[in-house]
Amino acid sequence: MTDEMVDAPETAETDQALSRALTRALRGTSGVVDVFDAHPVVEAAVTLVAEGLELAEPTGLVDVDRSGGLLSVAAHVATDVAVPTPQTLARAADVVRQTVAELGAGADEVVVSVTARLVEAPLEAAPPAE
Amino acid sequence: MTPIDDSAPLDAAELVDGVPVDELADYLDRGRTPRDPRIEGSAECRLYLQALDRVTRLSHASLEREAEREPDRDDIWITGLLETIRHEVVGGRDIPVGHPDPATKLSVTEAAARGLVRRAGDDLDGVLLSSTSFDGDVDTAGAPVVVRVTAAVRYGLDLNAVADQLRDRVAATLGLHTELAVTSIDVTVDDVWLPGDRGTGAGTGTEEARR
Repeated sequence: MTDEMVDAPETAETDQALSRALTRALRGTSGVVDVFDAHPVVEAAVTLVAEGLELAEPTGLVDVDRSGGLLSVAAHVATDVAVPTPQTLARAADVVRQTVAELGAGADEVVVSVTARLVEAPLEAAPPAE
Repeated sequence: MTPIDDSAPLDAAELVDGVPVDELADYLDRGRTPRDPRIEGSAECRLYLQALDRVTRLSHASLEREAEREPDRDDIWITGLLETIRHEVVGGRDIPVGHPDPATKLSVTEAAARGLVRRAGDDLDGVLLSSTSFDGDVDTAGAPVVVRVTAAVRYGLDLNAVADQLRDRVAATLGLHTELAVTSIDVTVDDVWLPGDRGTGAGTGTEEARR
């Protein structure tokens, strides 16, 4: 068994915590109306089933992936129609980098991807769950 | 345990991101309550709800009246419109947004941009967009793009003026939210609404009927 395989569960746990922290940070970012699940479709479906069966702790919506010394972070957001979306996306990317740095994600290089999948007025969203 | 569903499986043509369109319509009718995380967590469903809400508010009364007069024609028209919207809300290509750091990639989906165009048109008095599309390599920064929109317009409006207003609004919203290099915005009016004589239509001050 390689060292990498021994470290894998711990890294996965750390990345899930990072994903949750990034989701929270993005939800508090000015101009971001909502955060969508950015995980690949199959992975998201498996996670949803596992969470439903209470086999896994709820994961964040931001996709965190490691390859060698590279940390890739992908976020999908809804942006406020009253704010220029390029500004909001740039702000969101800054928040992602800042959060990754604060949590010490342990990567040589960080690639950040933020995609606006919806532009809407905040009031158009459904009321929050009770 | 989930009860066994013995109904026929839904065709993909009746789904938006896995959610039946009838379920989305019912959800909108209920004022999007109680909140459904499966629907609200889907950008495609949210885009569909946005468009459906505007169509419904604008045309509910007139569509009901027209349905009594010309049920087949009206049903075909509204079905076609909703089918077009269903196709438009699918993510599509990523439209790049520039950033000085090459390790930071920002983008807006084509579906989100189409949603902006549709919003800009539908918010214009007497206009309901039939379809929106982008011609060009939208996923390449700086590539020339032609925006094409078709619209139904209330009878009596100056079509040239409406087309100019529509172009201005589309250019403004795409300029604000994307970095598309739009070279032209082609507007086609493919249907006309006749002003009605009773009630009030949403957003127009008069009830409208489409023929």
